[in-house]
Amino acid sequence: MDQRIFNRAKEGDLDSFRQLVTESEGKVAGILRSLLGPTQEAEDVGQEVYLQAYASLKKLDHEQAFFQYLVRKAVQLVIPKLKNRSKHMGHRKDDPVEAIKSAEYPMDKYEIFNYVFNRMDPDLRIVIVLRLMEGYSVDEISEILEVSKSVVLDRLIQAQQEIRSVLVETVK
Amino acid sequence: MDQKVRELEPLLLKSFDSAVTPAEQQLLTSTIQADFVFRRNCDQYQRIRNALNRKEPDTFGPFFAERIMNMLRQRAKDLDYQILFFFKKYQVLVIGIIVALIIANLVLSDELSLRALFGLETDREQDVFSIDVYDNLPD
Repeated sequence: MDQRIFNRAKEGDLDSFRQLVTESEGKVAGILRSLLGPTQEAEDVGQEVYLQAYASLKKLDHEQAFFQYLVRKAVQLVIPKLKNRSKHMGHRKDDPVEAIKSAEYPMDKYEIFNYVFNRMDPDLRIVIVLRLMEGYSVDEISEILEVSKSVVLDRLIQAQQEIRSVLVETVK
Repeated sequence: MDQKVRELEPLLLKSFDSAVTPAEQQLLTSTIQADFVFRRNCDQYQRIRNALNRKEPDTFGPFFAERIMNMLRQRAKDLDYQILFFFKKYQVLVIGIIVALIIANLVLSDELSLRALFGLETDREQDVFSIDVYDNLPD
């Protein structure tokens, strides 16, 4: 991103803000679509992220701060939605290995991963997406989630163990 | 699963994302070399991590930025309308007060003129000449 484009957007130039959106939406889409699926809900949250970012532009000093704001806001907005979804998943506590083995049709490894991933605790899903899919460092995730690095590492360890334990039992 | 492997697994996973001490690294390396189960688990974790790593950037689609722009323009219009409507309420109030003042001026005044309408003071001739300067002089 270009600091001049950011400065012009900050002064209210909508075309410059459009450039910022185009250049940064991939990262926001990556996080939201990984966590909420390729759904309208993910896009709605994405739109809200940018509308709030536009309203907060004056408080941000540089384009890097803008980028960090987007990621932090995306995570803040998605957490309640994930927790709400988890609450409504009655079968979440079923044994995933049994559920996968007794599925009507055989699942491939990607379907099995999605099945496990969508039933994981939202806090674990978020660290998996930020670290393993989007490539943020543990330090960055610690700042984004406002938790200690050891909490991030513990969640990463637990999440990977959950995924592997189901995959080794179910993938032939 | 072997007790040692179970205990070392969190350390192995930690080493993927964070620095470990040289002694811990040495322990992991020697266990990977010596223990088949640990080596296999390590390989499985790395394959899972590689599979999850995003290869291409995601997107909301080609018109996402345009939709954001339309929403921002619409919000600006809504805000303008809200500001206009906010002052409109006060406009009605102010007009009401002005009309009331004009009526009050007309009622209190004994003549129908523009000066009376706007409550302007008049120095009427009889008022001016009714003051007898000489009467007020000391003897």
